[in-house]
Amino acid sequence: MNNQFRTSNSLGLINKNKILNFTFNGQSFQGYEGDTLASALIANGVHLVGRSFKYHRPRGFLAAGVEEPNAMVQLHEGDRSEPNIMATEVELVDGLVANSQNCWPSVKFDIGEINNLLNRFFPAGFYYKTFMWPKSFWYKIYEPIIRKAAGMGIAPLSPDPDRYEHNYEHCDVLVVGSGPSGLASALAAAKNGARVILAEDKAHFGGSLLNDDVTIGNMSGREWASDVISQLKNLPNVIVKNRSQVFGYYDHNMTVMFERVSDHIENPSKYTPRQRLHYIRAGEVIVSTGSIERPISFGNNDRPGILLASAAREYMKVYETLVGKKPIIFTNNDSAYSTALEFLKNNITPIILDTRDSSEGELVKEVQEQGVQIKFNSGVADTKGHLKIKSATIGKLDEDKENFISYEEVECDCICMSGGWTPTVHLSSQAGNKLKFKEEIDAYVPDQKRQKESAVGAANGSYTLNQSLAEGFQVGFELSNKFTSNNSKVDTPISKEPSQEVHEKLWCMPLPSGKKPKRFIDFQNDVAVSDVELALREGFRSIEHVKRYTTLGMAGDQGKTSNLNGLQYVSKIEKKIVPEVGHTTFRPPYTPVTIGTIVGREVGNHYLPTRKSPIHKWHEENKAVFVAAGLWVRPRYYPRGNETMNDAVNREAANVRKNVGICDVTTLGKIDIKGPDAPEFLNRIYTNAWLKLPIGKARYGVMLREDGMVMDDGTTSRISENHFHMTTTTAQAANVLTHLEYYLQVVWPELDVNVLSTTEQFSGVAVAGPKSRELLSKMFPLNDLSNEGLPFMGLIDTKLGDIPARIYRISFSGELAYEINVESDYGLHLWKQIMEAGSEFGVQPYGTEALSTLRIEMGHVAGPELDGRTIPFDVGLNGMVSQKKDFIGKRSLSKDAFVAEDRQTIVGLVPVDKKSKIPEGSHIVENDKAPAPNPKLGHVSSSCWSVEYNNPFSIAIMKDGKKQIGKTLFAVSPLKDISIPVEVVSSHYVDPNGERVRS
Amino acid sequence: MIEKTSALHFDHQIGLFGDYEGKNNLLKIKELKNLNIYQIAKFKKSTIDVSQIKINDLPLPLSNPLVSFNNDTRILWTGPDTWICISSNYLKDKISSVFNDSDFGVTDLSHSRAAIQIQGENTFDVLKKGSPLNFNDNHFSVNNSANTTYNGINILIDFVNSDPKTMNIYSLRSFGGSFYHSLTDSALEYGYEGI
Repeated sequence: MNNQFRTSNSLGLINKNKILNFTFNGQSFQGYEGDTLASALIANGVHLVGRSFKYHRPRGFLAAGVEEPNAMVQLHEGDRSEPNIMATEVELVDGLVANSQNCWPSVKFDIGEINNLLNRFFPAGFYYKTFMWPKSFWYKIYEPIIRKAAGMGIAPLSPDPDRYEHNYEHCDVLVVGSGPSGLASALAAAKNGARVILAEDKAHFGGSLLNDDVTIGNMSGREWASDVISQLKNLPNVIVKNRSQVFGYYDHNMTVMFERVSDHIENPSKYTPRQRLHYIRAGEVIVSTGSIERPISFGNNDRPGILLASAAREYMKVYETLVGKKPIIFTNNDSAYSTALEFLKNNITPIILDTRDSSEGELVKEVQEQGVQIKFNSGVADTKGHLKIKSATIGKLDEDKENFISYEEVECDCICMSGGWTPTVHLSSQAGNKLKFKEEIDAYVPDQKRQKESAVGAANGSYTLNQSLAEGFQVGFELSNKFTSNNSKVDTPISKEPSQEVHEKLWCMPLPSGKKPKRFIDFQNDVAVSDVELALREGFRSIEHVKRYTTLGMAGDQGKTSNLNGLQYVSKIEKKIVPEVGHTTFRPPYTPVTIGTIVGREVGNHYLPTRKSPIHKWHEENKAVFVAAGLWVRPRYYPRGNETMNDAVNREAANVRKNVGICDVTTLGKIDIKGPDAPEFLNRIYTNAWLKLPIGKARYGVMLREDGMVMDDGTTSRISENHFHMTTTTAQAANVLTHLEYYLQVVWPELDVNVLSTTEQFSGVAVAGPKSRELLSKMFPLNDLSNEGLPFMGLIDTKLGDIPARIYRISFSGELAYEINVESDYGLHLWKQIMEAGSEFGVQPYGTEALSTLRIEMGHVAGPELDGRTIPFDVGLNGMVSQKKDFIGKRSLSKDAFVAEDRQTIVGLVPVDKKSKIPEGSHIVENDKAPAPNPKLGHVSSSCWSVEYNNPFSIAIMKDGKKQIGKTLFAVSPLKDISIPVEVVSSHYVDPNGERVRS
Repeated sequence: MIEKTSALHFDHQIGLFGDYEGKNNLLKIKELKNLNIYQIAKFKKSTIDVSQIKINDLPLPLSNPLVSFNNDTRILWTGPDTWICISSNYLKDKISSVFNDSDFGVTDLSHSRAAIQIQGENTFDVLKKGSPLNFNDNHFSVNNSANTTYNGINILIDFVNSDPKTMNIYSLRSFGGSFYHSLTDSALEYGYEGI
């Protein structure tokens, strides 16, 4: 086992008794349980993990957590392969496979690095200028090349084999982050009785307490964190979640949290989700997300081995891993000295460069007491080393710190830099908090809140442990008091930490004399100081424009380590204070979230809920081909043998015309309407009269919207004096019920009527065709189904054996037809009984396609005609409109356009050649050769193959349609490049006098 | 022979599913069949005092989210002056005699719902995967009911017992298959027994 970069102590959080094998770029390594991929690689001396986005520069680890901009890897192989995963966030498991990305043929030798050699041709925004000429090259050459070059890693093409779940949670107080202030908040709120959720992104709770040498009460910071977590886990009102990141904050205190449930488990059960998305509705949110250390810009500051000082400390303290053995500590503040001390504990003496003139901080003194000489007023000017840093050019700064006055070349294998700290304000900003700039820390902090959100600790700019704990305990207690009456307060423990001096306001080093190395600000997007300078030179002033031109702070990183340095540099060049420069927008997600987690279980059969009739199983067993009708799954047709869809549909429709067919019409909307005012209600809803409909009779009705457009049609039957049964189209059932509820609740509250959907209560079967009466007479021998016994638009209540049944004499097919309703438990039984009884009459099931054919031939309107753009006149229903009574939409019907003489009307179309099928949606024109724009007379709404006449037939809505009957026009479909000469005929193509339905 | 098929007749499966091995007190999921379900809605102009009305000695609950109940019947408040009465006993005649049609609209919904009972300690865990309802005990407790959604499907939840946690859940019948498969899929993580 290599691991030559492990510390000699065992004070971290890894388990050296459990060795884990893993592979990186095809090479085998070993790490320990508790390692991240990053710590295990560093322990094995591997710093080169990838190549940068634009220049393909060698890159290593910058950080140890979510702020990592460089170390993105392609994780796993095959179906589970996943690109752009931060190696710092991947917990090591045995057998893990990871590879570098954005490089070819290897991370050590990458052809793409030629971009770095040609970097002067690829400044910020180069593609806006470079690919302007010749214009014709854009689509065929430039764009494909740019698309190929863009993006990092490879997404798998096959379906994701893992499970992802969602979860809804509600709590009084959500605490985001388990550093000192988060733990204090959670403990205070929980002990006061509030329902608390504590979320921590990392595997270990404690945040900075895991790395800092502090004491709280009589415990170390790490012990105190462990103690608090134990207390919280034992409280029934607390949910404690590690490996869980709150990445989005939306309106009404809705937050979303992403939990890595089993990524760290070697062989999870196939039913255990890999990751889970939590929707958390919190009464109050405490943002204790801490702060992120800032890098410093200096020449070639992106080489593998150059990282944040806090990350180096975390690798040593948590993962027992040394980031190097010849370190340089480069800082503008005191906190990096704790990293120096950690090196000293491991018998490594670092070179320390401090941009300040001096510091009296306790950490600085402690380092000095150990005999380490500190180079104040100094900084790194440039670095060397291709795949890993080998040396640095360090220099003495002049008084203004604008230039180096002397240089020195020193060997090193790592540089641990610290430019101070930036509060992690992303969530507060997402919540709508208006941030303010806090001069003392040179960073933005939350200020004016718009939601029930409070930032505490470092996220609020309170950097000392005392401040963090005090804020945490106080805010946790105060907010929890909104939800409980316990008023139980936890005392704030006494804490001790080294004092620190103020930082230097210097985040960008001068260029070394005579050289112009890249000084990177945004590592993930390869944005250097020179790019920001270029953007400003080219006139971009708004920080949002600078961001977009340079890509500073964009993409998955969202500027965690780069935003503030970018703002500081812009403010310096523009000679403005930072608040005048402003800041860019923080957008969710805080870090990238897998698509699988967002989708959850809405995949495969769970993609959409579907609705099925009680007869569905029979349709399946009889090989129906289904079609979605809204959420309903309906039989479209029932093919036999090798029949095509057209063959099957024509057979089914012809059988209805000739014999008898049955159709599952359970899906039609059914609405129970009850109450003393039900007749009056219907009279106002429908265009025709309803007050005198006899009991036991059905009537066809048309309802309009207030603008006069037809909303829906259907039959409504009177069951008793105050009880009606309304049917609607399948598609409009929910809309019609909403429409009725609206008028009852808002417009006519004086009417005593109750409406309720009974669509699901009854299973319906349409029995249509000249032999339908014979078939039903066989099934219901005790009922008189003759024209006298059950006339057209009549209904009877009867029984099928012992089952209550209602037979309606109504027809959508235009044939003699009935519709039978039974309670849904008996729907399948009814269907089978009809099929059995009907065999001697040639009964066949028919699907929605044949249903369409039958109604189109008859000129019966449906959805394609009632498309929200037609009034009753247009679709031949003006006879249904009462001139005497009032109804919804009546006034609109008198609008000038609605009474125009050449108003559009419904007609039929037959192709002149009696063969060409007319595409639905075709335009009707007088002259198909006329130049564009060719005046449109109307459009084809529905088309079918007429089984009655054995030729195509269509319905069209056409200007002055009735006067066009007999003319030859053209149905043109420019999209299909089709022009068909058509004859205009009546829309009632079959049985125009309606004799069959009354036969 | 009359063939009667319940809403989940072709969906519900008996047996052990998911991560059930080595676990005690497994979740139990079953279809509730042959229920008598009625919606009772009082008309707006009615002057009847509903607090005086009882069905099988059960009063109508007068506010959200209360449920009146005895061994075989539960009356759920589902809206102002609106209740759903669910019983394993035949109730039609009783209801007809209590609620006259000039004051109440009574509608038989017995065949219009798919009904599932889920029971066990992980009941809330399963429900929280698809429903945004607040199941915390200070918001939703035993003998409460609520209309909510589960993965996009409207459902009515009736909290019938707290030990073990038992919920009767009703969806529209046509959505029954989708709801059942969504619910049981969610239960696989904990393991369940279809009974």
